[in-house]
Amino acid sequence: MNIKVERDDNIKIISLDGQLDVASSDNARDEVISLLDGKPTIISLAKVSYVSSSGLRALLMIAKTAKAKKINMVYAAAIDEVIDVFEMTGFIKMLRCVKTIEDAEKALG
Amino acid sequence: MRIDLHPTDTYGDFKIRPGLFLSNGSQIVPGGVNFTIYSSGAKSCELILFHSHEKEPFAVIPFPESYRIGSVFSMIVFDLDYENIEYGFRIDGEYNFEHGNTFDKSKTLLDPYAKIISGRDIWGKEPDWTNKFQYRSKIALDDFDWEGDMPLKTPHNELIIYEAHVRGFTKDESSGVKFKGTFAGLIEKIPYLKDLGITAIELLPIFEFDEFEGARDDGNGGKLMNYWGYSTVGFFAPKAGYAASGRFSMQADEFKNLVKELHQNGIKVILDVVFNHTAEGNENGPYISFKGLDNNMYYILTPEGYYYNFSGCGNTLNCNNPIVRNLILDCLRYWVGMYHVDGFRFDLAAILGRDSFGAPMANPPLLESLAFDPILKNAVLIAEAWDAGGLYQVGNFPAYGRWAEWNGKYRDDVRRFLKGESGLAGAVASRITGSEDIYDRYWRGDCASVNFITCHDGFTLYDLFAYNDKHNEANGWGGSDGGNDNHSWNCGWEGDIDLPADINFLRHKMIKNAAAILLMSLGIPMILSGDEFGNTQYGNNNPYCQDNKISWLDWNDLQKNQDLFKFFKKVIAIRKNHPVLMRMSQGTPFGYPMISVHGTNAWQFDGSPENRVIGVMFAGKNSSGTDDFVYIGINAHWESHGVWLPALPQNLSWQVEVNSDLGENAVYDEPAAINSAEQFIIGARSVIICTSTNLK
Repeated sequence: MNIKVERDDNIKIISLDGQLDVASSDNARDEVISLLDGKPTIISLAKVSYVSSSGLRALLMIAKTAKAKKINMVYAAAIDEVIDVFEMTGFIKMLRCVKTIEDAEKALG
Repeated sequence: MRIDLHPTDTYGDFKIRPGLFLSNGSQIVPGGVNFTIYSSGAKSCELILFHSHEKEPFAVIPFPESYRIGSVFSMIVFDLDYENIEYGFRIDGEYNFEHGNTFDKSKTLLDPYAKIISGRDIWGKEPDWTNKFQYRSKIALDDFDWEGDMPLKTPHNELIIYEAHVRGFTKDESSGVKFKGTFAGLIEKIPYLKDLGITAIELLPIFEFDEFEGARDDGNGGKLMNYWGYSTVGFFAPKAGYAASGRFSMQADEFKNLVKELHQNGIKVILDVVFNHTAEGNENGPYISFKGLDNNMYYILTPEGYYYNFSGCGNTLNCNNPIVRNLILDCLRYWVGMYHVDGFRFDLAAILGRDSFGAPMANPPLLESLAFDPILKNAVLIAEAWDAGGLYQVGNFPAYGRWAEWNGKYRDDVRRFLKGESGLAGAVASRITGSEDIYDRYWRGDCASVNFITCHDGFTLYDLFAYNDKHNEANGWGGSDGGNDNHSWNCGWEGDIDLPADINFLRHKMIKNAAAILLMSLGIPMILSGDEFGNTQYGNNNPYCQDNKISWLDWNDLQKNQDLFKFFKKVIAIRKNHPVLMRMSQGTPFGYPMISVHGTNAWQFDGSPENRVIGVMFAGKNSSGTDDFVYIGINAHWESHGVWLPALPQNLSWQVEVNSDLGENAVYDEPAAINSAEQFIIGARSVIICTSTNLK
């Protein structure tokens, strides 16, 4: 899994690239959390091809950490297959998720 | 980091150590996975590891002799890619059929404690039959963000149970949901359930089973499947094929989310559980787990080593053996503790009270353990108090004041009375007033009787009044399967073809009569899903194998039969609005008994054989503490009858809330006042419900 900061001005955009599964999720979680510095943050899932059970948990832990640190954070641009998994398992309700990066920017106000 | 979670040994490339002996099955621990299995007759045991879906294992790791305490083998294997692994066990031991020992070290066994199972990930997808390891244990992440959810604490008195099949509930196109036939699909229907007003959903078996067990061609290019699923493969695993996410092995999360969502909407979850037999069948059936673990412990065997068949399904689980008893207890505790389910309905529960020789016990240890278990303390426990071996225990089930029962007598008496048979007024009065002739309230409490007129097993409510005879030809047994004692009546026209309008009107009335009686009866009411909108199974009273339109709810009927839905909704609301109907009233009005039975004259019940008119009045207090009366008047006769309602205290008067004789208008938009100076004429084959209101 590749994790990159795509933009870092008034808004931070972190993009994840690859599969979020047991092999990558712990590291991805820790790395993304380490990048949360207080700025409004968009986490782009556009290039995440698959999210496993442990991947779901990593995304939830990131969201919970952001919330605890009072960081305005939103997931964006996940592909339909990934959104389906969020919906089936109910994680969709616990993750703040929008369709596009533009939507995310609006959501962060 | 625990100091006892580092590798102590290696086996080939694997780092291992003795495991957590008290933790059955597999469990993720820091750095590795713990595997624990017990088998009293085992000489040795191997852990078999597969990459997902592969036929051949990538590792076979014997449990070293030093990794064994008593008959428990336990090992932690480090650095496993646990999401993409399937595992099983191979056990070496004696083969001596007569003694019931059937160890076979060539067979890879499913972990009986597997929390998720793959092999049937997508419902109906033809398995690879050349694969010797069909049901494959997987390692589950069993954490979940419950967001404060717990099993619901509302009293059992408030239960209004809705019996549903996960797949059949939303599989049909007409359901309109996104994830059809799944746990996720059921979530999409929660607003509907809430609107209807039920307070619990009882799901037909959701433990992993094999829909292909006994599958046959139906002769028309389709397949007859094991659709109901009363044949358990794994007792700790939700059925993958019922999860939209089963192909990603996320069925545990999906089912937990369903429970959480139902709870957030005040709906309890009751699981229909099958502990009377397993999917291993008889001596000709497959090895799944138990046959290769401790065959003669898990099953009741004849002296020659054959399987007793009290279940009618090939074998009988030896429920009162201490090992099996613990497994069952572990299982139920797991579903309550880890999935937050609120209760269980036990299929053919009479078997749970048989000893190792099959004889019924007076004080069965299993049933006693369940009744007093701390985790299960508030769980609903419902017995189907009979079995296929002829043991019929309705009213006599060893209940310890904790168990409720499916009241089969309620079903039969109410059905016969409604169709117009004579000699049943007295019996039906007893059924409505809580069946205290069957369940002594002192010992059994308020909720012993689960009242039902229909359930998955038999006609739907619509078919009960549309078919005199079962029509089970599609099941492939020449129409011989399914019960013959249906007590059904087609209202004068068999089936639906060219159905005359007046017959259809009568059927709707009969359905409303049944609904009114069911919801006004003391005890716990149970509704079969779809009955509230007249769902039909086309006269099939045993569609256990019909994974098609025969079984799937047709939601178009909800639009077509709005009058039925509206009626059900109303009688449910009446029940919930009047605590006395749930035996939750704080006191009774001065001078009135809580329950009284009436006839055409108030206070004069006529128990003679030809009487078909019953009035039952419930007198209690409403939630604000004021006097509250409910009266149900039933005329099962084919002619109308006038009844005198019992006089109310001076400040109150009767108003009629529903009258099944009025077709589309059976539910009053505004309750109508009743003139107490006149008889109320109850139409032929009709039911009214009246409530008290303040005199204006």
